[in-house]
Amino acid sequence: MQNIKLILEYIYVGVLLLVTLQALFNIRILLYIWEEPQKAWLNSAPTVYREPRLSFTILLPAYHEEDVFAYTLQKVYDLNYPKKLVQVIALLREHDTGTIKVAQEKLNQLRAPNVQLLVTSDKHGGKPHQLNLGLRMAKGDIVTIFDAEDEPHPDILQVINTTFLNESVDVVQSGVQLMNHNTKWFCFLNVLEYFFWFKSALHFFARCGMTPLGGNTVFVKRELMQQLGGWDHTTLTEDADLGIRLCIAKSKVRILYDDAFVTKEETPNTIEQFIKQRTRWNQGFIQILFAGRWMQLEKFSQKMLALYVLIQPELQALFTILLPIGILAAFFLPFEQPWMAVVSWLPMFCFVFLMIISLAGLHEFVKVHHRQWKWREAFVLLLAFLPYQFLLDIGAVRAVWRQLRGSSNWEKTAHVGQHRGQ
Amino acid sequence: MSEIKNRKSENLANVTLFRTANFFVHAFTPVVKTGTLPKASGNETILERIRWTSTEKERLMAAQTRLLPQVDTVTASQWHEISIPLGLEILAVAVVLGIILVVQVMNLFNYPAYGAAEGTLMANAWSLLHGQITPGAYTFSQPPIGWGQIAGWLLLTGGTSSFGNAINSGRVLMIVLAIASSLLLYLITSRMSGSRSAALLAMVIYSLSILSLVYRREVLFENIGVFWLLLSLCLITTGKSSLRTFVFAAVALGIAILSDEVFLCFLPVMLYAVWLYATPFQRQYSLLTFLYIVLVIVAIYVLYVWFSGQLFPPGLIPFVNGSQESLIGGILQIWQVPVVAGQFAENWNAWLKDAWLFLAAGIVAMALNILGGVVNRFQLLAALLAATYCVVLLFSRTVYPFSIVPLLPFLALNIAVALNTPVRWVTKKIGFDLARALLWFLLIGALIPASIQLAQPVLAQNDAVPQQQSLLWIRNNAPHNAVIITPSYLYSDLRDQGGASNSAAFPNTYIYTDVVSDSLITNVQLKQNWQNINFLVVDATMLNDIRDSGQYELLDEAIHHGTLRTSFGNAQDGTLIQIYQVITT
Repeated sequence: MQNIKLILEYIYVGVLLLVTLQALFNIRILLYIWEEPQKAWLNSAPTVYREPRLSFTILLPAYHEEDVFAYTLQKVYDLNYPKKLVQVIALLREHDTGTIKVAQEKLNQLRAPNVQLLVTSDKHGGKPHQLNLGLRMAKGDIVTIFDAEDEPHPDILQVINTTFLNESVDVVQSGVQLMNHNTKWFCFLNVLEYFFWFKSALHFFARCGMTPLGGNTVFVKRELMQQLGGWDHTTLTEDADLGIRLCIAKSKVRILYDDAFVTKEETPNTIEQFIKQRTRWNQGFIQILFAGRWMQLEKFSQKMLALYVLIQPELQALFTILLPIGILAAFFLPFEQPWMAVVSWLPMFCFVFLMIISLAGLHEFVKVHHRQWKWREAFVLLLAFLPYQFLLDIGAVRAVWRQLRGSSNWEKTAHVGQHRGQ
Repeated sequence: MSEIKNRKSENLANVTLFRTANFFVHAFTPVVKTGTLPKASGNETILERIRWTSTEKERLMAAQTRLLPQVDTVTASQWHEISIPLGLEILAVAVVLGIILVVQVMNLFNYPAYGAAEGTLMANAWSLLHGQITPGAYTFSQPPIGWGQIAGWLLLTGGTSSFGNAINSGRVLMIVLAIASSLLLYLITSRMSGSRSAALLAMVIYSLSILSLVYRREVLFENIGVFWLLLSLCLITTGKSSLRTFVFAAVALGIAILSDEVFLCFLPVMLYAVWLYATPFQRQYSLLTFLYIVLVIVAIYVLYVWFSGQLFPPGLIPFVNGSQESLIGGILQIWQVPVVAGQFAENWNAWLKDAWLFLAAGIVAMALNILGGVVNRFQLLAALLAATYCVVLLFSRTVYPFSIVPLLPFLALNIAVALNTPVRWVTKKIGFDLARALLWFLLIGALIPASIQLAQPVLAQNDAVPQQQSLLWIRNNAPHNAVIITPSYLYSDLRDQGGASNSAAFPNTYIYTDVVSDSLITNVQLKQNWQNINFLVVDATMLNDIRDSGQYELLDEAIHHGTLRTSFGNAQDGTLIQIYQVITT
């Protein structure tokens, strides 16, 4: 009996150590860009633009976005780039009459030959299907996507043109940033997730040659996209899948997160929307995991990294569950050795450090976006940290549950334009 | 130009030709690498090109100034103006370190006399190797990290008798740490002053000061802590603002604090060092990471004590069962010890007597560096390092002769930095910077023989010989089952099988202080009866404690019923050791 107890204790300690290692790896990814001073240049956009030489096709998929779509169309049309080198394709679905109407009105107003409207049938799927049809019509050297609520920087095409001309790259993932950091309690951490992901983590992935791309502001050579066969319409996260396929094809991916040039987005409007969005992403990752394409990555380290990224939401859920268990166990379980109780606290140390990093991230976020630092917001962030982890856990568990039940319908995230004017 | 070349090799696109805080000239290399992309659209008209150029000009004129990431590492080493090949630098440092090593090991095993602190550390290390944290009851007032390192050393070198006896083994480790500390101080000063000759001077001043020569050879927590502290500082100053190096520096500082809690006082100034050496781009994350890791390392020990049930004394926290031997109880006990008036002054006078020039120069240099720190942050850092410990020393409740050890490297650092800064200014003014290096080499050349001459008569004394003789006597004359009460420095050797005659162990040896502090020894082993004691090895300190403190009635009675079997050394120089055999009727 004593032996069984000891074995169970060692198993428990082993699990905690693994979870701690995972948390440390996560911290390392979050802080990757700040590891060396030279890495700052990875996120520095060119300051002198090259002459516009590359042509762009901007795909603008939307579904029931009548509130925000006209504004987005206008913003994309207004980008500082010669109009003859820009093709804008608004991708709408036939039953979405509201958005179609708004788009048509805007098109009539613009009267621009380079802005086109492509209405697709609802029978053949959602966003990936729309994108694939858009790709067929694309004429530009570079294809990119902006979401319906996006607010790209006016010079983004200049920056990307210059980057493509100056560097030997196939894909440029530019920064995407949620902007409404203080509208709801969970917004702080949602905003910071994007901040750390695009500014730091993606650089780590790019260095390892396994980059799960974002859903928009990703610029890919059109020929390469066509060679890859476009987006996979069977997954809920076609963007992450595309990233893995590009890495399998050994494409050179450049991450460029300059705070001044990020594409501005908004957080989901409600907790329900947030959980639905997170469920979709997590389920998409599970689908990619079981599709097994990531096994075609060349190196073992790339495969492991892909595996880690794809199961990270579930690992995160395990981490959050083990956190209180560890603390309670340290106090109430009669461990053979005191160091075992100390090990129970290791995930908590990581957790607190993640909170501190988030605070530092908030400080940097408000500074670079010329906002005011407020201690009250910092306090809310700290208070929201644990509940936010539980929201993520619900998203992770719900995704697994939906996958087991076989439901894979697209749960749309509504947009109301909270980020505009921020 | 070389910077531009380097930048080019990293990234052909981003070349910053000139940069200040709010202005930069950024250029790109017009190399087009676009794979299948068109290299030119080919259909722009001249008019379109002119229009583009003019638009771009207007944009640049109207654009708000964008601050580039501030990634310049702040290091004085960029001031190196006299080019010295690395091999020559290594040779010079190796030669000086060699001299330091020779002087430092001079009469290492015989001078100074083995101290109680040395003996306690070695006894603890021996106990750790034999499954106990300390020979007596562990009070939790000190983490076992310090003697854990010594235990590791004993394992590595084959036990306590590899160098004759336990303290000799410990002293060899201290010499290794001392040489490493000297080298670390060289690297730190080189980075902080920007002068390798000044760094060499700091290393010589530090290592050949008589205080260093005496105390750095002793087995002390302070010597272990100084090594880790200097390692931490070295990593910060030489790490080129790498976050990974800051992590290692934090771990090193954490080990220093766990080796000797007094090093916690350096945390604020070490944070300042991180702030200074981290680029603005990385600063907040570097500071937070450094601080958090240090605190976590300390917290892990506190948690360990907590879960061992030894954090709180009884009655401190309601509903929490306290322990008689507890960490907080131990700390409170330290604070309840009455301040011995004049202890600092007494030690200060002794230090002044031995090394007045070094101390005076160090303190003046510290004051000068505080003034110079207004314009030169490196000077301020050097001054703060020394000033921090000066404050601690002034306000400590107990000051030992060896308490000065952590101050010594920083005094040397301050002297080198304070001398180098004005001399550099002058030699640069006259356009002959080489003169500065020559001056330092002359000073080093004079310091080395002078220090050796000064140290030789002190180091030539054989204060530890009576202690070694008493060990030998016990081994040759006492039965192995005898109950022996000794000062701490004989404990490990008597408990361990070994020595020149490969003598068997004396398993019933106890340190005299444990007879009071450990009830198990008093009540169970000795049954509170002096007749259960067979031998007492008594030195001057032990005799004073037994007679004056009133706690050692048992031992006092044993001495009164004892007969003096032999004695070594003499009372005049304080080396007298007497061995009593207790006569039981």
